[in-house]
Amino acid sequence: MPDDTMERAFAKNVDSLPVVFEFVREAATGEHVDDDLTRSLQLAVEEIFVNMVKYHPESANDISIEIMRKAGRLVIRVRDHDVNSYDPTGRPPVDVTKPITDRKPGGLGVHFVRAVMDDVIYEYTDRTSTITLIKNLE
Amino acid sequence: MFEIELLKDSTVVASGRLDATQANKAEGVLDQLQGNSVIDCRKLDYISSAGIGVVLATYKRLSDKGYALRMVNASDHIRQVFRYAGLEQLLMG
Repeated sequence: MPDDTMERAFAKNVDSLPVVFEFVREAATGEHVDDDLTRSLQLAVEEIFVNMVKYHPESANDISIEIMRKAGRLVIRVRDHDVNSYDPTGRPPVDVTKPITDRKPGGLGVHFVRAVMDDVIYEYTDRTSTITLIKNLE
Repeated sequence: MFEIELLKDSTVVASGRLDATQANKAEGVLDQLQGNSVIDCRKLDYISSAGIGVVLATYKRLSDKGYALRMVNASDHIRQVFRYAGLEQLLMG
């Protein structure tokens, strides 16, 4: 399978989500990616993107998203530039087995990312936070 | 695109994609629910944690007053997201 990479930058604002979704759809389209998987990928990217918008307002730089199809995997890298370090994947997991009456709204974003993707990696270098999402296709 | 409408019989019809940009819009309609209510998801294509949060807050508000909130006609994808969230009991039908 040939390697394909697409990368684009998006304004750091939740209003960017429609074009982010379209980018994910366009970049992910291909063998082994059906509509359901596309929606799941869009969900994972939304949760990471919105997390960066909400919790790292110290930088107004665009958030860049790179999507690469390589060796039977989709690798999505979401980069937040000139921000302080904070690993959202390091938060304690939400207890989704709690009775609904004990549940508080919020905290599900990273949980969804972990549920949808096969691997989630956080890196911080030169004031850039990078979250890498990996989905095995074969 | 996301649309949400409250019908006279306390049924809410949600269609399209309930993502973080639409959570406030959904909340504005769901906040109007006062009794036993139903959200018809037949045309709902997508929901993220922002949408789940609004639904959960509505469920708890109504539940505290002794009322029920059900979501019906959810697609496989919507059911899967609610399953991830541990909230599949909200789904019926």
